[in-house]
Amino acid sequence: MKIIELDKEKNIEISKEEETVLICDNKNIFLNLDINIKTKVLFVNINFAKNNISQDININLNKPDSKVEYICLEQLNEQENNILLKINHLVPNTESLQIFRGIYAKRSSSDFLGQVIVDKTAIHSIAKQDYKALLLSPDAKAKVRPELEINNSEVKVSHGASIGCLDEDALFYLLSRGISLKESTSILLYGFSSQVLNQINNNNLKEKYSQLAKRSIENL
Amino acid sequence: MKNLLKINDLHVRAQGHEILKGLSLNIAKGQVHAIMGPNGSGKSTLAQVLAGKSDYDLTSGSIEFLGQDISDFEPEKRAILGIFLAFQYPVEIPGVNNAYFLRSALNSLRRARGEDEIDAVDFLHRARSHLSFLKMDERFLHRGVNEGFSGGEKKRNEILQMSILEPKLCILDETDSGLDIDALKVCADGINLLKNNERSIIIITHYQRILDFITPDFVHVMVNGKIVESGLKDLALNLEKTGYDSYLGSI
Repeated sequence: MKIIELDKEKNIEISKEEETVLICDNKNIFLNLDINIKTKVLFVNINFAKNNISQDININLNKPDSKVEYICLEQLNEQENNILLKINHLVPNTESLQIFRGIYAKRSSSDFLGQVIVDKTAIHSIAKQDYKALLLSPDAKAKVRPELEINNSEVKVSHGASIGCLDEDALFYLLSRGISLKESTSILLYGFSSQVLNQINNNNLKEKYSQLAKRSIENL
Repeated sequence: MKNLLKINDLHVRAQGHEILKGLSLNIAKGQVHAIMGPNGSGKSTLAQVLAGKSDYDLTSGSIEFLGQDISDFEPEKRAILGIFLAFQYPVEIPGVNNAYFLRSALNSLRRARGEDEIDAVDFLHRARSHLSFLKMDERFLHRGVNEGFSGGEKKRNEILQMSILEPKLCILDETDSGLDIDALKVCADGINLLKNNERSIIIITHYQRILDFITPDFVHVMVNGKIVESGLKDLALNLEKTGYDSYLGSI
């Protein structure tokens, strides 16, 4: 498995048939990613309350049986984030999965636009967009926008997006077992974040970002 | 016999409607009380009010638990005092590991009692005996809380929590509903194992079937927000034959 930590890269081409993980840890990026071979690329985007983030990410699936999994976890306090993600399915049998989870406290705001464009030649492609955002304060704002442009009829695509508050019933369930409000809230926020963290298929990375997520939640 | 729970003339409103309309109930330590009644009579509201759910306004009356008025207590404080509600619809919490959740709950109670917290290894050791009694596989502990559990598994998970947390008052809100006869027997065995002279149990149910396995000391009929008749076990058997019509007719 190859792990690349993104910093100032503008262009990345994946041309070797090996599983690749790209990590973008609180970085402003303007990136074009070409996947030119039959392989799976995991793109891990972590934005914890540090600085304002602006990202423009373009991903091209150029080879049949190439696959990208884009997972993004945001936990913000006062920051304003802006992410534009575009995934282009350019050939048949390509697959993209996106999981986005955002937690917004205090006066933070986020605008996440995820576009999937399936070319008319890219038959038998699969695409899924799964976005959820939690608002923890009346002053926090979130925009999550899944967009699909499908140019052929032989594809399997789905999208879903929701923005809401902490689940009151789940919170009451934890409280009714004697767990304090602060700890119950942390448990729920960590569970929500785990839906992204559990997708990280490298144990060291998963452990690292799970610990960072726990610490970040304590400070929200 | 010493009172554990004393509810006095309790009136409760939710979303502009009065749901409990002057309910009184005394439960002594070690007693098992069954509360039966038709849909909409306020049984589940009573269960949630006792556990401290904030959706309700207590407009008058009082709830005393071990001699103190707990009407204003937060749910977590009530749990620490020893109140446990087995939910009618246990909540699914994706991403939160069942073992982690249960250990957090147990350690919260232990901290409040001034006891040392227990670590993950000791917890697993302790949980295993409860699991085997409830015929639950250990993998239940490692799944998300109630996530993808069947109806019967969810109810067993409630009894598992109850047996690990060892409350003083167990409120079972329609634990029997949706269970097949084998699962009902397993849950009832789990509940019976928890019975002792100090622990009291409230069984909220529509049917007397569960009372074939757990013998109540008292049976109460709840209709339209209050208890309209109390009696011994025979009352439940009679209800099975006559239904609630005679009570509904008198309102």
